[in-house]
Amino acid sequence: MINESLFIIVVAQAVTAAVPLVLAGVGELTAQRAGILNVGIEGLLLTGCIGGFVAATISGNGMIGVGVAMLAAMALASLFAWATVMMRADQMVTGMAINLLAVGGSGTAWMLAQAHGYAHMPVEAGFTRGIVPWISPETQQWLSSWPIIGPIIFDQYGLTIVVGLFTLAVWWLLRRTRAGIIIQAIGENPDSCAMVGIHVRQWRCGLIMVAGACAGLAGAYLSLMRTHGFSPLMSGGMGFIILALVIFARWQVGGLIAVCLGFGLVDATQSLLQGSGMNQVVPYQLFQALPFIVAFSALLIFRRGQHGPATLGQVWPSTIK
Amino acid sequence: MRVWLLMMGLLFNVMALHAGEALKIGLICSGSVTDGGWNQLAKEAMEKVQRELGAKVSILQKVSQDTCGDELRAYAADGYAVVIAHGYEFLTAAAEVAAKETTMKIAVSGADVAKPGIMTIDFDVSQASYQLGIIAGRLSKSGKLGFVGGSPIPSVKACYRGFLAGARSIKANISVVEAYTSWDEPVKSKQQTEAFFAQGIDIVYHDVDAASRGVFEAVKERNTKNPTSPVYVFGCVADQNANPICPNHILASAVIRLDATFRAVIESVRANTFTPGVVRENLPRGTCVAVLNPLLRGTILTDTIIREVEAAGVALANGTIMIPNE
Repeated sequence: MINESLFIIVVAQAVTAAVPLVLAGVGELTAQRAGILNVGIEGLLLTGCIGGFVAATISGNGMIGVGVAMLAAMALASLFAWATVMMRADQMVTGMAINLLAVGGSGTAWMLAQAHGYAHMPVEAGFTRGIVPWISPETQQWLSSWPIIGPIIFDQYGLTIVVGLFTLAVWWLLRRTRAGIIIQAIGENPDSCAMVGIHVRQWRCGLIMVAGACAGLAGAYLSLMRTHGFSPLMSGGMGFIILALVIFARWQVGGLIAVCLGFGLVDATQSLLQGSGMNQVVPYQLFQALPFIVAFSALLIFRRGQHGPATLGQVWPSTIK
Repeated sequence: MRVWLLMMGLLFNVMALHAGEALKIGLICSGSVTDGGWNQLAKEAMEKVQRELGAKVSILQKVSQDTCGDELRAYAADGYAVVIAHGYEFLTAAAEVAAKETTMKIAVSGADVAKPGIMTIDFDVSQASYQLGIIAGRLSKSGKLGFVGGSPIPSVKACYRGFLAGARSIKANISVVEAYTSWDEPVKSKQQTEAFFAQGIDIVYHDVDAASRGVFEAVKERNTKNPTSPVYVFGCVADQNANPICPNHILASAVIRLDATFRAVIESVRANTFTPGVVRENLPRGTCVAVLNPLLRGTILTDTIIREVEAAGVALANGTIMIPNE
């Protein structure tokens, strides 16, 4: 039923779908390694979507949209950092509050944008497909027509290569540098870190901000690249999926890339199966649930050694002297 | 001083009289009125009616099924004359409130089940969808059509059935693949439409509400990449022919004229002729119609196709053509 060219299309779609998951996931993973569980990642994504959209629409410049998306999500992340790190609020509750705030805030911003005539983004402000920037459409067409790697690699959005390089840099940082060791140590035993002079709060705040920027950029990917527009709740629960994928990847960058691609592959396959008329036989809800069923099953099957950072989600310091 | 007081008192009385005359109308929406689809259409229709009839309008957004009853009771306590609960999901709550509330009139739009004390308004877009199916049947080169919906609720399935019947009236062996994604996630509807095109489908009809942007983006991207064999799309619910994403590749839209429906409901309340029961809005009533893209008239939408669509419209209206139920 699925021939070779369709398989390539599915893989290409999986890569497209995996980009925002990997990007926001790497930020979340790094923060979680330092003991911060930011459940508000869904809200940060949504903030990136609307921030990027509004800025790109008003300015007519997609790059400004990208910058504002990151800044807007960082602003919201700073609120989370202030509440959880500085004020010692519960991370789970604060994260949920961030999500609710983002839903209301993005809806209001969208309403205002519409009221002021900014409902549609100018064509030039949106990013088109093409992994290599500033090349002519003809060259892009030629690159995309290459067998196998054309659709899978070259026919992606420019952010794909940025995400690839960034992920590699984070992997290197966590595995090979002193900063990586500090991040891990903060997640495992922040008291000891503080005793040897590491500024735990500053590190955690910094990592929350970086994770916010990643989520904001992932949001901009959805609004400025994938759909060239905004609609309320357009992130569609992606943040919650990312939380599950980070756990499934056992807080490893390599694992995260693999599970994000796997999730994207199953998601693309269900679209293809629905498009082939299979839902005349199998209920469509089953197709939609397929990526989640696979992710959940994998979580159960590969649950060994799945303990996260020792202080993940815990308030620090546990007592105020 | 006395004259001034007398005049102010008179003015106050006149204002109070006018305020009393303004009909209080409520609209309850399940989602945001900025969704670019079903709820936004209702808000715009209500605003139009407000301008035309001078009524006082209150709109509630993102009301859930379980809180709808409370909102209706609050409207009744506040002296509202009529409330339109905009969505099939509000049917049960509306019927429960109507059983105890006799003064305020309640209409549920998007529902086709009769309940005591309330008016349900069924928007039958299947006939307009049949007309779109005719166009698709004539223009599809691959003989494969796609339909993407938000979820398979009765009104969406009616669109699919009408579209299928219309396309098959032209080519008996044409296929229409149906898929369901989400109402508000353009990323998913785009991915589904891309999957359609990957399998040779060349015309897509959607009923995905706010997620329609994703469908249009997929069409635009596909036609930019491969302009020699273009793919086409149909709009739904609102007139999407002038959408800024792919205005040259949207053939037509199946449009619900909500403003006409809402005006009729409100005027019936005002004239005291509001009657509970099912109101069927459809092609013959002029409230669910196919609107062809004026940009494509005379080019890809040839005179022959237009005549065929119009003839089908007449046959659907007089009952010569019937849409199969299942």
